[in-house]
Amino acid sequence: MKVTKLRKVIARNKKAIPGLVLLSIVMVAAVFAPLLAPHDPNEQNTSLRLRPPAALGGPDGFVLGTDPLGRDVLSRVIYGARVSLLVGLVSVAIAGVVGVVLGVIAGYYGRVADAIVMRLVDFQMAIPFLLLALGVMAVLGPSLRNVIIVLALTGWVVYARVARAQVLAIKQKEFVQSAVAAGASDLRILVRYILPNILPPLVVVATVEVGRTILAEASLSFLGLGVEPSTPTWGSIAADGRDYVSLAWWVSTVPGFAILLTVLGTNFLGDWLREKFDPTLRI
Amino acid sequence: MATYLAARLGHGVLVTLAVLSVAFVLLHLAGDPTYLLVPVGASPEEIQNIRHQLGLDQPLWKQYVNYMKRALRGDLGTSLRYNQPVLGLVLERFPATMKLTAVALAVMLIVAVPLGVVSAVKRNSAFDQIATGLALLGQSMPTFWFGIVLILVFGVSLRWFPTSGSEGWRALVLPGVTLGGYTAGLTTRMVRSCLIEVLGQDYIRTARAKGLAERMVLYKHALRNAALPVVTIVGYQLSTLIGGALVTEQIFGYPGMARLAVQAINNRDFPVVQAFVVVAAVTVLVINLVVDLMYVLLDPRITYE
Repeated sequence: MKVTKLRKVIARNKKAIPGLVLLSIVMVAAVFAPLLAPHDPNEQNTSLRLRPPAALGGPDGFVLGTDPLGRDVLSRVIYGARVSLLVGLVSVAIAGVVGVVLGVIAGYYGRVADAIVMRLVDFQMAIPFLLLALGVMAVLGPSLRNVIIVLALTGWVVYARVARAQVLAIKQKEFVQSAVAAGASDLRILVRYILPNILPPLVVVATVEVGRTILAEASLSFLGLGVEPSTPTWGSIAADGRDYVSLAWWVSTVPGFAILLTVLGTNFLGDWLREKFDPTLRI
Repeated sequence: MATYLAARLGHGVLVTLAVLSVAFVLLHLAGDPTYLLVPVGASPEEIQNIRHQLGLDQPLWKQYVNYMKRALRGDLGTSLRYNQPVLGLVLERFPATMKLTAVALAVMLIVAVPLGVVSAVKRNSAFDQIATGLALLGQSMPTFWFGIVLILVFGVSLRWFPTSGSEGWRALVLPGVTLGGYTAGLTTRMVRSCLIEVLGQDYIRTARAKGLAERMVLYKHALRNAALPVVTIVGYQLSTLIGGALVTEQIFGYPGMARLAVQAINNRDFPVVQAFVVVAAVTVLVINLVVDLMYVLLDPRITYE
């Protein structure tokens, strides 16, 4: 009886499983990096430059081979998970809070507030976000803090739009109107009645955005505009191997594959949440 | 229609002014921009000279006014490395980037439209599952990874296509597929969901009820209506493509304006970066304007009064 029930639950949540499995692997790698990595990710060994993975005839103990400075690719990729997740989660959190606050204000108060926020949204939508990120990073210079700022700065728009649309729909509902009639303060209405009801679609957006942000960080780091060059990140490890693609394919492709799996995980999770919460949402 | 066009053009002009302002703000983001504008190793006297020449010793508002005046005349500054007007440098490489973007767009549509349409029509079939899975995979791939894998397979191993440069159509294949593949995933999913939505409408049921062949229902009724949101997506994806060109041009050593911008960052040639941001943003703006106008042609219900 219990087993069939479990099967049903699994069948109904098919997409959640690959998503959770993939993201759990990345999180474990990020949290336990010092325990899991077989080598120091920054330890250089000039006698072991660009060696292939151990299984393909490379030196023992270097499962995924070495990079142009003789560093262990596996260890660097494991440590790279830290930066990707950190940037993804923190940027999305900041962008989400800013976007939701602005979107809620625009939707709830309307008029001037709405006009200002929506002009900002329009304007930012007109500039491709990688362009804006490129310009800002070119001036500020590569650093973890700057990447997070840039990605938050370019990421708030989608939350603002979704939050505004949701508020517009919900503020007409009877339960909100009766709260207004009962004399509840704006803050109370927003926090007690509106916010809990607009959260589900925003959670879906945020999940997908974590993946998108990780991709964006990787692109910036690949171009040398991400975090400090010494920090191992998936984008910068791939960039280190770019000039040696035909000699040493593993340096660039392994971190790229790690990104693919991570973003696939967030996208699976996002799809599953969308089906649960809001099948009509298109993002 | 004329009023709509005027309003839309007015909006475009406003956004262009805002883009120019952003480019100005960018330069001053980190405080005094002198270090961004002097060559490496300049002596203190040279730096003073350049500051004076560029007007950096004037108050900020005056600098802004002067900058805007010059920008509106098409003068976005001079490259520190090439000692040429930056706008010309960027525009010289503009056609190459547009060519790449056009190929990528074609790749995206050739992949995404058939996959999305068949998935929607045969919803939940094995085809749908595979196509949706592929689309999800496409959405999750970093561009640089896809490009490198294509180089390894079709350039290094099979030697079918060149892996760099821009000589002839063959050189455009791998970068075009890389950039187009980046947006094909999302577009496939959008085409699918738009068409599924249309297929659930009453007028489709009516068309079927009156005995129209399924092919007619699909081609005459469903696809036309689904085309509308898809055009919006294409407009939106064009802006993603221009951003994606930054990485693609870099991997393939493609001589477009995006590669120029990345090189300029490494050379600390900031005016070029600034001009690139302006040109790319204005391009996206113009494309979106065209997309909006195409709406009128596609949907006779829209009159824009």
